[in-house]
Amino acid sequence: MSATTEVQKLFMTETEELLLDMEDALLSLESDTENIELINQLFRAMHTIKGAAGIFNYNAIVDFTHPIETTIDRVRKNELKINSTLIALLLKCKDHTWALVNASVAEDELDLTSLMIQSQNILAEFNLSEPISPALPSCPQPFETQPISPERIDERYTDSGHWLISLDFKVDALRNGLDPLNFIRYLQQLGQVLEVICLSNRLPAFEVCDFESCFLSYRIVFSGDCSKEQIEAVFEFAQDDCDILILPSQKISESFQNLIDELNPSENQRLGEILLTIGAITERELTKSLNLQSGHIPECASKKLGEVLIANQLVDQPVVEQALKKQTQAREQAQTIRVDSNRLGQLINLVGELVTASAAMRVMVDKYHLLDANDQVSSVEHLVQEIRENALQLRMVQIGETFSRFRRVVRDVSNELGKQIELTIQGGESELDKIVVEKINDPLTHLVRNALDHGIELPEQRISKGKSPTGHLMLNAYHDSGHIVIEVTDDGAGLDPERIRRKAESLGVIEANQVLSHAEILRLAFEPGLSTKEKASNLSGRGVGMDVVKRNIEALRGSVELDSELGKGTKVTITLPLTLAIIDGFMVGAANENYVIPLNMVEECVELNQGEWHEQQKNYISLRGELMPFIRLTSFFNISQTNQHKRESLVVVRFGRSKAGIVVDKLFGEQQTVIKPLGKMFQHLKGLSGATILGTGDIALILDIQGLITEVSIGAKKHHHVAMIDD
Amino acid sequence: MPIDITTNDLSVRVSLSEELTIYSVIEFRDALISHLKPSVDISVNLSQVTEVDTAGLQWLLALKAWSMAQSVEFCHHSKAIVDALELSGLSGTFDDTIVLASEARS
Repeated sequence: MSATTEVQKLFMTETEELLLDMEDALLSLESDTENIELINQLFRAMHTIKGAAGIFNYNAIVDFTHPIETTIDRVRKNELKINSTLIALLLKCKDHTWALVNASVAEDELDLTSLMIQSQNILAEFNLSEPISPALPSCPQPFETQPISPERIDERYTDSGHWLISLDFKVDALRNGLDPLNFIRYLQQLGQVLEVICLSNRLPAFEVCDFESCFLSYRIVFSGDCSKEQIEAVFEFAQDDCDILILPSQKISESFQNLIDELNPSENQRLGEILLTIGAITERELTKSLNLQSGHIPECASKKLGEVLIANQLVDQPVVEQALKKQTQAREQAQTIRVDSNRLGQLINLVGELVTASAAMRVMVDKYHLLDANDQVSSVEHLVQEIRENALQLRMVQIGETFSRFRRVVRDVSNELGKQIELTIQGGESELDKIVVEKINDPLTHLVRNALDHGIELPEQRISKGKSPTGHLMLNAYHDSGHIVIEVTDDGAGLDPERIRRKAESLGVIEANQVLSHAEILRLAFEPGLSTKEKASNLSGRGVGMDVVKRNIEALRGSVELDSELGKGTKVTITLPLTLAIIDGFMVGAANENYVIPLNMVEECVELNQGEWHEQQKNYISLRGELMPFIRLTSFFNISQTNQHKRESLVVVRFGRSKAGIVVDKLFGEQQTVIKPLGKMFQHLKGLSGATILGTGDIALILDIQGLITEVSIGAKKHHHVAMIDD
Repeated sequence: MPIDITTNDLSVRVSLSEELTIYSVIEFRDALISHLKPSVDISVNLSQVTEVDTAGLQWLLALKAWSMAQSVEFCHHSKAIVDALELSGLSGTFDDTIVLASEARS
């Protein structure tokens, strides 16, 4: 085994991405077998991997991917139909390719040899799969035009590029004062009319012919040093009375492709714009096609612009393909730069330092009343805040990618268990920190597998319960007050509270006579050792219980809630902070200590009057009629009160659905806060999630609001005393 | 009258003059219809035609199409006719007669 080089690492990551794309495409193809773009994606993946593997001399990969690429190419050429067998086989190929890549990079000869034998077996399956079906006829042309072939004319006029102009006049053209002959005369002035073909097959018999109507169509081979736009201008007045097509010859078509090649389209240029820029289509053609696309003709609606253009013979297929390729390239170039995540981490650390430094500067300015410097410091502060936001944004990724990986899991598991399961993904565009995404993957996988394995029943069971045979699993994500909420919902069997209770009692987690609410019983599912299913399967219950899920999520300063109704389904809600690095904080003080509350959790601040506090055992407060638990920070952290006669304030915080009050001595206000994790020794501390360094060099502790709320609720339940305040 | 038709038992001689355009084609058709019988030879003299448009071309093409089974001869093409046929790429369709016309002129 040799150490993996940088280039090999790059090869691995790129291959992984390509294979994931391929998997996505395959899964989408299951429902959309005609989508040529997806097939192209498959082809690209295999082709690129083959090419890259060739550079590294990974012959095992090349030998395996080459026949697959050929097969996909046959699909592209309509020689082979995509069906579920082929998709299943290609999924297998995708997995096998990844295994080959790993073995090749690791130079594990033993592994590679056995994999190569497998390769042969898998490839053999291709030959057994269905024979080549005859090529499908191409889709019919929506316009009734005579078949015209630029190629045929190309054979005769090989010397230069030329245009094939097709004019189909409408019946009233002559009556409206048009004379097609005039157009041809005009074309003669513009360039060289090489050939005119007059089609008279629509002409009625002489005796009954209304000669004032037009029945003739023209095909003109034209060569001239002018653009499509200029040619179109010749027929400008005829547009209402004539169907005009201006087709490039092979040669011009090629020159279009070259032009596209040389083009440097900006990132968001649309296909139509690219084609317009090089003159492959005219503005009128584009408008017309876009109208068709959005219009009411069913065969043209819902098609892509490229397809509409090709179907109406406005542009050649190779030109569109070239333009699309360029567009994709431009997008890829514009959209992604590969950056080592460590570098991003460094950048964010530096930004954190910058935030601290700028806070220190503010302290100095305030301390020495440097009014002159005030403006400058303010603008620096403002910039620092923007840099901070941008830097954090760099690490934000959409959760959709993580979600869509579960499509494969759902597919495989439902096949394996004989269940029918449909996966719905919502809110895939919600963004969160890449580090959080990576860490949430395992717990999420566990929850999804749980839902698939224990939650959703077999089709027969579902029918007997009066549900539809197809089970539904939904992954949903959305933002809520500085957090991202991820929901895993299934409409399966739900959790049986009785069983959880029995198990918990047998394990000694709860007392036999303990009174518990429904929610509290469900919460027991997160206790260690409570896997409700008696027999474990290979899917879930691999020793990783719900308790591990909970622990993993709490390590991310998140929380997990369970809601379930027996027979109806289960919903697991995960709430996570968007980022782990820097937050907007709200600083408060209690007994000379500083504490930071994440600003997006703060609902409001209320002044408390010392005089209204008498009892020691009050745990609930009624604020404008709303009852909420509260704590006094000083008593929570057992800090001795030095000054008894001071004004106190109540900070109302919200986390998800619960609210709580925190009583503090002082309010300092907003503060950009760089979160520094607490050392290992302090990580078990309740109510604290980290610390931050203030501009003065002092340290402020960051309150773990969610932990506090839980603590407070539990504490408050034991003593039902309510304090009233009026404000 | 821009259309002049002289008939006998076996043949119809048509002579067109001035315009063979959208303004005259219907009139020309109506004048000729009654003479279009099987087993007559028709000859159309085009020497006096000074202007042709697409409607006129259609007239010529339709008459030619009718004549597929019959014998219709177009003769003495005027310059306007030759130009229009050439423009439309129809010279070939009336090929033999054009040669005749040019011979007649020379």
